[in-house]
Amino acid sequence: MFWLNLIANFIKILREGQTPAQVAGGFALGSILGLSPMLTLQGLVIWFVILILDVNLSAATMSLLIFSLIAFIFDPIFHHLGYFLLVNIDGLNGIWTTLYNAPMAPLTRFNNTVVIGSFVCALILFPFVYFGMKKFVVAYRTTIGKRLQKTKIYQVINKSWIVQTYQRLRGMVV
Amino acid sequence: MRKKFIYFVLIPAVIVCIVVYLFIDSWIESAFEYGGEKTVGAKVEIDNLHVTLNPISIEFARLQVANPSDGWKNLFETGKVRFSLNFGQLLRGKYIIETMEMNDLILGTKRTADGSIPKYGEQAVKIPLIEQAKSALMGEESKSSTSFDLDKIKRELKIDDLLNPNNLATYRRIDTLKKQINDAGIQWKTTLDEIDKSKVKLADIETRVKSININNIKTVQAASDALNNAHSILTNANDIKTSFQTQKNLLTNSVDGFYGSIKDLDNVVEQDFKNILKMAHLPDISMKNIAEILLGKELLQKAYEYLGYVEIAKNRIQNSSDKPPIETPARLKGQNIHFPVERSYPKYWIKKILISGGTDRTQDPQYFYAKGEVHNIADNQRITGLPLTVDLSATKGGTTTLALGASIDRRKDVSLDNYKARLTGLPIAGMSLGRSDFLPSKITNTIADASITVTVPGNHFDSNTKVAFNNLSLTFDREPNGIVERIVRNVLSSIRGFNVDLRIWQNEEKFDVAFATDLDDKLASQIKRVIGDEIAKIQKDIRNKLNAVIAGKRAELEKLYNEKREMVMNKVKEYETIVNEKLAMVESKKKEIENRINQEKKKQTDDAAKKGKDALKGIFK
Repeated sequence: MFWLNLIANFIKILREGQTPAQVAGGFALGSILGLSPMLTLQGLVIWFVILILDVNLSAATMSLLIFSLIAFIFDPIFHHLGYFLLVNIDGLNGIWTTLYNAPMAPLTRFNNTVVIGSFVCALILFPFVYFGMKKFVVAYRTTIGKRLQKTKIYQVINKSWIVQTYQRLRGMVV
Repeated sequence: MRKKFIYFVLIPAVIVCIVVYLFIDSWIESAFEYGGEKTVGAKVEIDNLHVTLNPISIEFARLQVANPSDGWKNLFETGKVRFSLNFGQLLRGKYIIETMEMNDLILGTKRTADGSIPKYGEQAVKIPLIEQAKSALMGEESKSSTSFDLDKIKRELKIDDLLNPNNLATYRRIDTLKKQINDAGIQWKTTLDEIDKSKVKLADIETRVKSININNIKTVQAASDALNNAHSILTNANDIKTSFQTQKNLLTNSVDGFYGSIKDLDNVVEQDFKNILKMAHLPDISMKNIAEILLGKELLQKAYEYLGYVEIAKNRIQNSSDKPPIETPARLKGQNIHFPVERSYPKYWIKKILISGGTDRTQDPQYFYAKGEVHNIADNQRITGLPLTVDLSATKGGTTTLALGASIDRRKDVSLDNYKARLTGLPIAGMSLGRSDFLPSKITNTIADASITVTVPGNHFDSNTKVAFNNLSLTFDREPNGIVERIVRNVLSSIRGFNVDLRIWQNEEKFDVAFATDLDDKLASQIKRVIGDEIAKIQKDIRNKLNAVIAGKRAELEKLYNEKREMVMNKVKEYETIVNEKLAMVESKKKEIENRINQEKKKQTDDAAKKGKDALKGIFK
C-alpha cells in the first residue's frame, strides 16, 4: 500500500500541486541520498535540508528509491572512483588526513571508497538532475501528461483491478 | 516491574552475557590465530587461552608459529605467555599491550602436522632477496677454475692456438677499419673530383682579371666600371674559397677520425691480451684470490642461509605508508582507507615482550639459551612513531655468546632494517676449506669471533661480516698437487689464526660480494716469490707474440691509411695554392685599378686647377 501510495502521490504532484522547482528540488536532493550509502553524517544533513526547505517529499522519496537502484548497479564504479580519490591522488592526501583526524568528519565515513565515490558523483549530477526534472515537470504538466492519459496502456492500467482496488481502499481510508 | 523490559531486554542480555562468558576464550583464541596466520602466512596455534576480566588479561599455555618456508617446522614455540590489555583502548577495538612475558621460547622445533597455508590468488612477481643473491653467493664452485700447477700450465699452454685470429678482436677491428678507409677513400675521391671541377671557375676568374687592361682606363668612369668588375670577380673568388674551405674541413675531419680509430687499437689489443690470459687460465700474479677460494665457499653459503631470515623480516613486516591494495568488497560496502592518526593508537601494539628460552633441549644437545626484549610490535609504526627493536643476548654450550640487536623501521616510505650481531667463542669444527680441485681441507677445532652488521634500506642491501679465527687446526683431505697448493698448505699449517672481512651488498639490480683476508698477503708473498717470475715470463711471452701477430696486420692498415691520407692532403694542398694565387691576382688587380682611379682623380683636379689659374691670369692682364 505504501508503494502504491508513493507512486500515486508522485504522479499526482507531477500533474498539479507544488511548483516544478519544489518537485525538482526534492527529486535532486533525494538523488544524493539514493546514490550515497545510508547512515552518514552528510545523509542526515541532506534529510535535514529536505525537511527544512519546502521541497516535495514524495519526489525526494521516489528519487531515493530510483537512485538507490542506480547506486547498486554502479557500485563498482563508485568504489574505483573513491579508491582513486582517496589513494591515488597524492595532493588530496593531506586533506583526507586532516579530515580523518577531525572530530566530526569520520562520521561522514568519507574514507570509505563507495561513500566518497558516490557522494562526488551525486554532487556532480545534482544540477543536471535538478534542471532536468524541472523541465520534465513543466513538460509533463503542459503536454506529456495529457498525451499519456490518452494512450491505451494508461487506460488499461487505470481500469485494472489493482488500481480499482487501491482507489476503493483509499476512499475507505479517507 | 516492567515485565516487557524483563522479557525483551534483561533476560536476553543475561543470556548474551552467559554465552559470551562461556565462549569468549575460544573466540579470542580463534581471532588471535586468524590474525597471526594472516601476518605470518603459516599456521599459528594457541593452546588453552584464558581471559580474565579484572584486570583484562590473557594467558595461554603454548603458542606455536609454523615456518612459512617449511611447514613441518616451527619458527618458534613458547611456553606460558601472559599479558594485560589496555581496557580503554580495547573498547575502541584496539589491542594495546604494555608488557608481554614469553617464557620458554624455543626456536625451530619440529611439528607433528604441516603448518603451511595454501596461498590463494596471484602474488605480485617479486624476486626474493635470496634468489637475487644466489648467483653472487652460491657460484663459487662453478667459477672457472684457475690452475696453480706451473708444469701443467706450461705443458698445456698453446699460445699459437690462443692467438688464432678468431680469438682476436683486434684482427676484426683492423679488417673493419680497412673496409671503412676504402669506402671513405671513394668518398674522398668524389669530393676531390668536385673540387677539381672548380678549377674551370678559377681559370675563368683568371681570364676575367687579365681582360681588365689598366692602360685602357682613361677616365674616372672607366676606372669605376673596372673596379666594380674587379669586386665582382673577387666575390666569386671568395665564394670558391669558402666552398673549398668547407670541403677541406670535411675531408680533414674524416681523415683525422680514422687516425683516432687507429690509435684506439691499442685498447683493443690490451683487451685481447686480457682475454687470452683468461683463456690460458693463468693465475693472477698478485695471488689475491687464493684465500677467497679457500674460505669463500663455506662462508658465502652461511651468508646465503642467514639472508633468508632477513628476507622474512623484510617481507612480513609491511611498510606503514604503503598504499593499500584495492579490494573487491560486497556491493554498497566499499573499502575503508585509513590515514595516519595523530595522538592515537594502532590496531595492535605490543610495547614490550620479555623473552626467555632457546632451542629445544631434547632435540639439540648444544642447548642454546637466549633472553632479551622486543619492543614495539605494531601494525602501523607511523602511528606509534617507534620502530620495532630487538635486543637479545644468548649463550650456547657455556662458551659461545651472542649479542643481537635489530631495528626494523617502517615509519617512512623507504623501509630501513638494521641488524647487528656479535658472536664470541664460537667453536668451529668441520668447516670446509678450499675446493674440490684446490686444497680440499677442513677446520677441525677452531674458535671464532664474529661481528655482523646488516643494513637493508628499501630494496638495497649491505652487510659486513668480520670473522676472526683463532687456535686454528686443520686437516687436509689429500696431498698437495703442485707448487701453489704446497705453499698454501705450508702457510696454513704455520699460522694459528686469521681474519676475514666479507661484504655482501646490492646496488639497484646487482648483488655483489667482496672478500678480504689477511691470509692474502701471507700467501701472496710466499707464492709470488716462487712462481711469480715464471708467471710473469709466460705473460710477457704471450704479450710479445700477440704484438707480433698484430703488428703485421696493423702495418697493412697504417700503410693503407697513410696512402689515402697523403693523396687527399696533397690534392687539397695543391688546390689551396691555386685558389690563393687567383685570389692574390684579383686583389692585385683591384689595387691597380684603385691606384689608377686615384691618378685619374688627381689628374682631373690638376687640370681644373690649371684652367682656373689660366682664367685668373686672363682677368688680371
